Amino acid sequence: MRCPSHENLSAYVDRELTLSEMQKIETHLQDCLTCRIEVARLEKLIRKFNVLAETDLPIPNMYNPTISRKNYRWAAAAVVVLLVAGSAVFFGLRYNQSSVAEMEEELQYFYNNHKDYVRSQSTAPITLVSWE
Amino acid sequence: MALEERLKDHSLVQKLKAGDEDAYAQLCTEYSGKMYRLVCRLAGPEDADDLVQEALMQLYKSMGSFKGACSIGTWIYRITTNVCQDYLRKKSRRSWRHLFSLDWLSSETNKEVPSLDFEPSERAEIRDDLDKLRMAIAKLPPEQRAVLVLHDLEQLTYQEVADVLGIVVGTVKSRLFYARRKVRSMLEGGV
Repeated sequence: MRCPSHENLSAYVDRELTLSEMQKIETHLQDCLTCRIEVARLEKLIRKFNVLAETDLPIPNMYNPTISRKNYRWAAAAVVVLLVAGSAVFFGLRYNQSSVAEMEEELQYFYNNHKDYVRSQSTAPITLVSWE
Repeated sequence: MALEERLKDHSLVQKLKAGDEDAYAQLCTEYSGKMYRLVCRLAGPEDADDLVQEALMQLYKSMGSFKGACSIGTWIYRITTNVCQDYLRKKSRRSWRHLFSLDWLSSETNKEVPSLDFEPSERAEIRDDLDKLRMAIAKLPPEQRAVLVLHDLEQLTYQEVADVLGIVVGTVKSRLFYARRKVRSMLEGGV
């Protein structure tokens, strides 16, 4: 039997030939040192690919389902904290603004009722500060 | 494909076609890591995140057209590979040397040879060869690289590779042979 093509030897190593083709090549290999060497070289290369497939490219955390789920939990916790903090700041500011408005009213009331006293205590014109 | 897997696939496909967002999320969770790895191997890591996003978008858009003739895995590989090929085509005016930086090959990868059945001397040789091997694969023409990556690294069969790339099995066999021959000659010649 003539030597099989290198293409067929490559497919033989992958076990991707029909059963009869595989058997023909196996029979041939028993008598042909050249083809046996070629098969051994191919197998060695494929073993290297197998190693590469096993060791290559650690997948980033964002594509790792387990770690991603943990990240979602942290993200959810962060959102809750931000909402609470944001609410506190928002309502705090509103409270401060209403307090200022009340103070302004009180000052205005005091000023209206005690104009003479205030003028006697200060020469500078009195202006109410706006917080807007 | 095992019967159990086919049934699981079938159930997932039905949910996807019904527009089930949870099924889509499950699909993304299950496959995005594999898609990322495939993108890095085919098109390099430079724009890998964008390419995975693009592939996931295309998956979402084309869910309705999936007939179930192949497994979901094959279908996902096909979309991801097409996205990579489009990306490489757009960049084809540039030399392949500039398609992506090769620096990541030695910096981000695990140097430890896994505990497969190797002689100590062979383990040492393989460890030394891994960087050269990665470099050699990156230097292959895109169509040969796709076949080699899908078969030798992603462990798909000839038929699955043919389905993913839309070519016949004979072409897979031929491209794989030429790709391996080139890689081997690059390894022997120091890449």
